[in-house]
Amino acid sequence: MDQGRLVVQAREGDHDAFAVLLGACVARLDAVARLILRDPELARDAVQEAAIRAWRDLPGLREPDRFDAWIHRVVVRACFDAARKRRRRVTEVELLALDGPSTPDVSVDIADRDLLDRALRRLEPEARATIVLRYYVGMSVPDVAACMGIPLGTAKARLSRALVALRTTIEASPVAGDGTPVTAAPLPRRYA
Amino acid sequence: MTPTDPFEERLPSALADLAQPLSSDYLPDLVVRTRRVRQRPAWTFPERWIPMTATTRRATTPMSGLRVALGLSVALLLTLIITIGVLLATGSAPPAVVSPQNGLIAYELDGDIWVADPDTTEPRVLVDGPAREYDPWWSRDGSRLVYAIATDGGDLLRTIRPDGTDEITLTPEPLAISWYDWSPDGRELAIAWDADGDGTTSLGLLAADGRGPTTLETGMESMYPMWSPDGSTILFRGVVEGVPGLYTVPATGGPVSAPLVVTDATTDMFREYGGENDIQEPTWSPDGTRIAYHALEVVPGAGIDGNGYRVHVMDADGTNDHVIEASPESDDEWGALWAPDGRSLAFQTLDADPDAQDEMGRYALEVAVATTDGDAATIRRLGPVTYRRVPYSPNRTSFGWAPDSSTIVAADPKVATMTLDLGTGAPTMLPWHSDGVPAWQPLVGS
Repeated sequence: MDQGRLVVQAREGDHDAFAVLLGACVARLDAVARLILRDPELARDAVQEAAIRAWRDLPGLREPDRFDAWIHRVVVRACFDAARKRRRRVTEVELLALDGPSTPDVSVDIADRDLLDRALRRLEPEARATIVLRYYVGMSVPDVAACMGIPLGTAKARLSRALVALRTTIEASPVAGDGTPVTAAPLPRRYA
Repeated sequence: MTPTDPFEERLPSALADLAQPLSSDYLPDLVVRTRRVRQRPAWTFPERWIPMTATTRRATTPMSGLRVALGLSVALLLTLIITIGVLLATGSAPPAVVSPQNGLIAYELDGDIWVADPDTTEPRVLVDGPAREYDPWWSRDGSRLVYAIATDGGDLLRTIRPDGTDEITLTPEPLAISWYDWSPDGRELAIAWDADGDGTTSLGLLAADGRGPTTLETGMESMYPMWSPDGSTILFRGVVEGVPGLYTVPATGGPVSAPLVVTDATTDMFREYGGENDIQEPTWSPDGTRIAYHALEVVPGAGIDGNGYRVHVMDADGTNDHVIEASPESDDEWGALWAPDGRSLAFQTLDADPDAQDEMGRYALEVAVATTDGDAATIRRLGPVTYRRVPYSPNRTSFGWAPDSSTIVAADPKVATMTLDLGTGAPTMLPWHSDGVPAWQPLVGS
């Protein structure tokens, strides 16, 4: 069944249709949240909160074909809420393994992932969100602006600053995640 | 997307790698949780029936009189439809039913409202903001939490769902509120407030949908409103010519009852202290047949002045009033709370002898549980709960019952929060602390 039809059914209160929609996108939404928040537990909370908001507010979605952009917007907002609350927590959550249990994928260089991860962590969640929406989700800059609820010019400026900061951090990093010196690689070796 | 820079070109694949694995093992949990949430009706979303596309602001052109009239008519019609819808929705809500299951524990910490799952002991912030949010209190079906927000002009009351959604501000402006209690059906809150700013409190009702306060006339200074379990009447402490007593008034308004109990104004204690601190914090038994409160008594064993608080229990009509005492050595025994199953009554006891203070000037406070059977009571003391004397909270005392009546949660503000074993009396420390009274959420329907 096509997504638009499912959205219409879910909008009319069909929770089974909503469950199908959720099942199709939850892994990707979880990845977006993990990239923005850099904390798997917090990301899970944000996705959970977003799912509740999405189900509750779905009747307000006028255009079913905008569901993907709309659900990303809901998740991004839930991430911002989660990040804001984390700053106020008495005890910060322990930063665990970044993306769940490690996989036996030998092609992944953990040291390089750490480098990119550290660079992302140095950005504010709003800046991370612009990077994630633009380069991971693949949104156009106007869609990034719409998703984050900010003017186009602000989105362009925020994206530009985030890119500069990300690049600077990676290029200036003295050591990789395993403690070995980084030479001239502007990005982790795997992507060079 | 047309990146022109090698860095940008490599970024998508780098992020995709970092985001691995693409899986989520909590989808079933999400489905279950969302299924419990009710969707907002489509008509409550203005964007569903008003074009909401953002456009650049243009120079406005004067509207013709006809268009203005037409617009106003449409707006009035929509307002009428919404109002009728809200009224119908409110009027058709089923009455709340409380089941004895334990949910989240809500508490104040550093001016925010937190909730903790007592099983996983994982706390999370539910409400935060620049102002102090405090005194959370669950509705009787556990579906909403009311809390106060301190402002320069008084308190705002706001409610929220336990998942952090659907906040409703009940007070249109800050009010001097000193007490609040949910109605059994969750549609209103009874409040005690200084409506006129003259330092005297009166009763009011706040609709849970935020329509603002209305006055509940009693003809006397009134405080501690407590809704009867059947929702028909409100019990309160009233003061007539300086003499406090307990009265009831119909929840929908009407004549106040004859006093159920009044302070004896002929005693030496009354002449010395007046009635200001006498007869406080009345509370209904869950079945509505009995009322507990605390009052000043002559207590020979009390260390300083020979007076102290003692807990009274009486029938709902004011007859059969008697004291339930944990120890004649206690200076004060106060703050009675019925167990949700109605079989026990818990209250705090304090020996204020200076020798009983620790090096920080704190007293050992205990919680006593009286298992009531008619007039007889078997007392068991729990704790100690290290405690500093603090002003009474609108949320009664510094402890609360678990909804399933299995245990008691008590707080030593800013120091520790614990559950008390009803069998052994031993405290079990929880890995978080609160600044105020913990409120335990009753869960319905399980």
